[in-house]
Amino acid sequence: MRTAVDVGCGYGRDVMWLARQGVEAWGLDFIARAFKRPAKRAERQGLPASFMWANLTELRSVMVTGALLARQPGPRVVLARHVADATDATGRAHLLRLARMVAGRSGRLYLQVQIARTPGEGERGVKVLDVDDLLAQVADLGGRVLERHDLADDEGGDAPDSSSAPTICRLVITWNP
Amino acid sequence: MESLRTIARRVRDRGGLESRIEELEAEVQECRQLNLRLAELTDVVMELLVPLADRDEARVAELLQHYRDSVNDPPVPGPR
Repeated sequence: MRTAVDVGCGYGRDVMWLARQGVEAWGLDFIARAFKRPAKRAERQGLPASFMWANLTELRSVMVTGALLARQPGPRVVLARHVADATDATGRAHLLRLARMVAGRSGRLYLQVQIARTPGEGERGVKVLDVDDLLAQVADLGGRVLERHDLADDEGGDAPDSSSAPTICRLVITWNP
Repeated sequence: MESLRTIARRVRDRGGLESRIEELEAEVQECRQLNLRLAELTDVVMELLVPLADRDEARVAELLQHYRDSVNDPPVPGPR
């Protein structure tokens, strides 16, 4: 991986971590104020971290952002943690379009979505998604699922056999036929 | 008891409602067509915007052919 793009980067914590590992890291968010500070810090420290405003519900924003990032060194991976479940069906379709443009045939999309409510927790700004609907959208855009892991919130992605019911789903998607 | 005039108005209104539904159905159909066209055009633009090295040329050719077919004049029917 040469370039990583974190969609819905928020305060840019993951982007800064990736940049410290030497990856060309990009953060996208529709609240530009959130990444103002890390952008300045990255510049001061000479880290390869960049941030860009993008709006997933606006097709023009998605196309121009995808075109710009597709020109960064490859292979490129796209990370979207609780983005598909925080937007509507149009936003999800646009997220997949953006990921397809950025990842190309050599990259990957890493998605994490909520598939059930965590017992005792509020909504946390995300909706529970029907994964089959999401997978149909992926297939419509020519994507292929390489890996799928349904996990309980307390598993942290490392323990595949927990007794708790799965609440999140992690998907690795490619556009390489 | 309803007057004859009230009943006549109700029948007239129902006729208006039916024609309004027909109009709305036609508009919904037009919207669907537009959405389909927009999605097809977006597919073409999306493939053309990525650099040549990342582009799936077979997919571009297929999309362009499909788009060309959808915007061309319909074929002239031959003699029966």
